[in-house]
Amino acid sequence: MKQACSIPARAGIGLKPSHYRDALDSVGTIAWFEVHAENYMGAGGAPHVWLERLRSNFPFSLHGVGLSLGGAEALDQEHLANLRTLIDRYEPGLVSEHLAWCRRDGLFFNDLLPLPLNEESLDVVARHVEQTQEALGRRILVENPSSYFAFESSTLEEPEFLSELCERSGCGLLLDINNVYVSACNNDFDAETYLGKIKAEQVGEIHLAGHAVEHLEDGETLRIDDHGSHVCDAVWGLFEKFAGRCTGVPVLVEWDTNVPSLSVMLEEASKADRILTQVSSH
Amino acid sequence: MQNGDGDTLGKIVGDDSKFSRRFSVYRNNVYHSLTVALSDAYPVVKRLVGDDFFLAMARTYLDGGGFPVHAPLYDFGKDFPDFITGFAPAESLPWLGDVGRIERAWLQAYHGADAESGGMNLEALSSGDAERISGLRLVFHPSLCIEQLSWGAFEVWEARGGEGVAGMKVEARKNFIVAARGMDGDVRVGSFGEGVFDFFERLHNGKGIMAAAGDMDVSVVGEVLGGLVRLGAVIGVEE
Repeated sequence: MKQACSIPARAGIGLKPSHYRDALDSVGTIAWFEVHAENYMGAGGAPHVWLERLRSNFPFSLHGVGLSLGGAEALDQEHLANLRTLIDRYEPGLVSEHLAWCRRDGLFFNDLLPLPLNEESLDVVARHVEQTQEALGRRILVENPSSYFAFESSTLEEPEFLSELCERSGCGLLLDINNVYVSACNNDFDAETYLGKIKAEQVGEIHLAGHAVEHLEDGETLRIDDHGSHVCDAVWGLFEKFAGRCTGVPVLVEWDTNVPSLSVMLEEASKADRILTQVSSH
Repeated sequence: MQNGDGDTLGKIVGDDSKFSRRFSVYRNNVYHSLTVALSDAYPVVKRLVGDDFFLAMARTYLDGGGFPVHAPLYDFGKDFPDFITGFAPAESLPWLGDVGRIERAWLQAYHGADAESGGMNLEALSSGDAERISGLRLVFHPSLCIEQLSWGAFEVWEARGGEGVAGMKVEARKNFIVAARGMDGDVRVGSFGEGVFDFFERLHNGKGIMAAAGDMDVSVVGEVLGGLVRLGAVIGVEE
């Protein structure tokens, strides 16, 4: 089920509608882009016109946020079929989803919600990933989530869970280093130790993004994964270290709220590219 | 999730107060993202009532069963205009729901299906040959969307809820709007009087112009046809 990834091992950007026009004027400066699959599931109109133009100019990846791979319920077959239609039409270089759930009792929550990590949930998620890859006719990448709490019923550490998921289902890992850092700070574990347990050969893409720091009433600090600012220094540091032992993988800078100009996002991508060049020359 | 009891999630590491603080991050994210989605779909309504009022109205809507059922959010908030019409705190703006209906029609036309081809024989409409014109059937853009309104809310929507709205007198007046994405990709919305609704419906259902018009005044027929062509709603004619 593996196929060659047409996405270069360079830093791309998450593309927002406000940047479509500028992006088409920037051919040569954007290595590749990623869009959210659910924004292109309408019947017709401007989103499709733009995606068609953009994909003829840049390699791109389709990133889903609505499949609910981590949900206890069966996958939404209609959603899977929509995803397949989109993939057949635009032929993205990569397709990815999340280790999270977002549907229950017929309602869609439009957020990436957490699940306990244990043998039972691993069975469910592995089955869902297999069904997805079967329905899409291709391998997908699954992204580690940001979390704000840990479950008592979790018996597996996240890197272990993800590695086993890749083994069982044949999927790859979309390693979001900002998510690792956010979860580590919120749940008192060490991000470097986490990254040390990630098997580099399972990683098919790396995400970088900014997050918000919120001070709660009781003095507790919580990091919120809002993709609304520059990548923080700690995350750059983790990335540099990890990239040193995981070469040849595409990197993506996400910025989804308080979206800046395209040039700011491209500067952020250039920074990631410089790190990639640096570590590969060592 | 909505009740926040977290029963379905099982226990988390830490005490109860920590749980409720951390859990509320997820709950806030859910409400925030859905409220943003509603704001994006109903920008004029939001501008008319202000951010805080809109937020409270959206929250009440969501808690009253407004949660989406599909991952793509195209249909989410479809019945928000009906909810607005019945929302007691907004009763001083009885036409607000109709503004929402226009916004919904605009959005549906924006994402509606593409036309396979356009411009077929459109020149026949302006041929001046009355006999030929009366036998024509109109081909509409598949993105076309119709909404019947009880208030003259079109002008409020057209002013995008801006400063010009303050002096406007919005009348209780049955009318309907047609929204369509023309072959140029732009969505346009036009307002029509209730008196020509049946005519429009017959045209939309594929009746020929003369059969649809019946004994209507020729100048009114011309006005409606001209209006639909200018909107880009008519992409062709069949003889």
